[in-house]
Amino acid sequence: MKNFDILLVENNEVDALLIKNLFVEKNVHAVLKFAKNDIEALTILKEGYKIAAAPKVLFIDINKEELNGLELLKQIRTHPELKSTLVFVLTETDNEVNKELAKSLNIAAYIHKPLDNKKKSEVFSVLHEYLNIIEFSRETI
Amino acid sequence: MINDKLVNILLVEDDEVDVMNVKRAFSKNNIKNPLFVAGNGVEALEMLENNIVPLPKIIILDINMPKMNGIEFLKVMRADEKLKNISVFVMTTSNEDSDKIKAYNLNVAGYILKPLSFEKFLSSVATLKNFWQLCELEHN
Repeated sequence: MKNFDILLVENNEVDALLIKNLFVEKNVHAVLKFAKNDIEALTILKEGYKIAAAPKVLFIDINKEELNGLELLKQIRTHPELKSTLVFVLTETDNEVNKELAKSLNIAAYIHKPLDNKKKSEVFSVLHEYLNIIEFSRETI
Repeated sequence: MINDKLVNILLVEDDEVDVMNVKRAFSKNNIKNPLFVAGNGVEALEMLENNIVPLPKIIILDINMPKMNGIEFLKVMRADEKLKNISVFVMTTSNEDSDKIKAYNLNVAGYILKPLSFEKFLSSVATLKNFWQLCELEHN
C-alpha cells in the first residue's frame, strides 16, 4: 500500500480530470490535491507538513507563466521541510532554458505531455506505474 | 529521435549477485544502455571525478555499502558542480524510514526496494525503462 499525497498544479481542467480519474481510480490510497497556481500550491504544501500530511509528489508545468512553476520549485528546494518533495514537470511546450533550470533543481523528471488525450493517458499510466514501484517515507522529516 | 545515442548508466553496488541481477534484468528488458559498475561510493566518485567512466545521466545507487554508503555518496555528489544534476534512483534492501527521508532530502528521483524474486525485479526494471523513455532519459 502506497502512502503519499499528490499535488497537481494545473489550470487546465481537462488534464486535471484525466489525472484524477487515472490516479484516484487506480490507487485509492493516494490523495490528489489541486492548486491553480504557485501561491495556492505553497499554501497547501506548508499547511500539509505541519500536520505531517504534506504532498510528497508534485506535478507542475513550468512553461505556463501564470503558474509560476520555476519560482515554486525554487521555494520548495530551499524550504527545509518541503525540499524532499518529488517533482515531476509535465509540459506541453518546449523551453530549453526552463528545462535546464528545472533540472538544476533536481526534478525527478521532465516529461513532454502529448496534446492527444489517448497519448496523454498513456503518459499518465506510465507515471502511475512508476509511482507504484517507488517507496515513500511515512514521516516527512 | 534526432540523436538516439544511448545515455550511460552507472550502477553503484557492492553485492556481486545484485550486479548480476541488474545486468540480467537489463538484458531481458532489452535495455542496451552502456552500464558501468562501481563497488561503493568511494570507487564511484573516483571513477566520476577522474573521468574513468563517461559522465552518466542515470545513477542506480545502493544504500548499504562499505567505505562510503549511498547517502554519503549522494551528499558529496549534490555538492559537486559537475555531478549534482545527475538523476539518481536508489535501489536497496533498506526499508528504513530514515534512509528514505535522507535520500529524498537529497532529491533522488525514486527509492526502489529490491524485490525478493527475480520476476518481480524484472517487472520493476521494465517500469523503470518505460519511465526513462518518458523522461527522455534513455537517449542523449
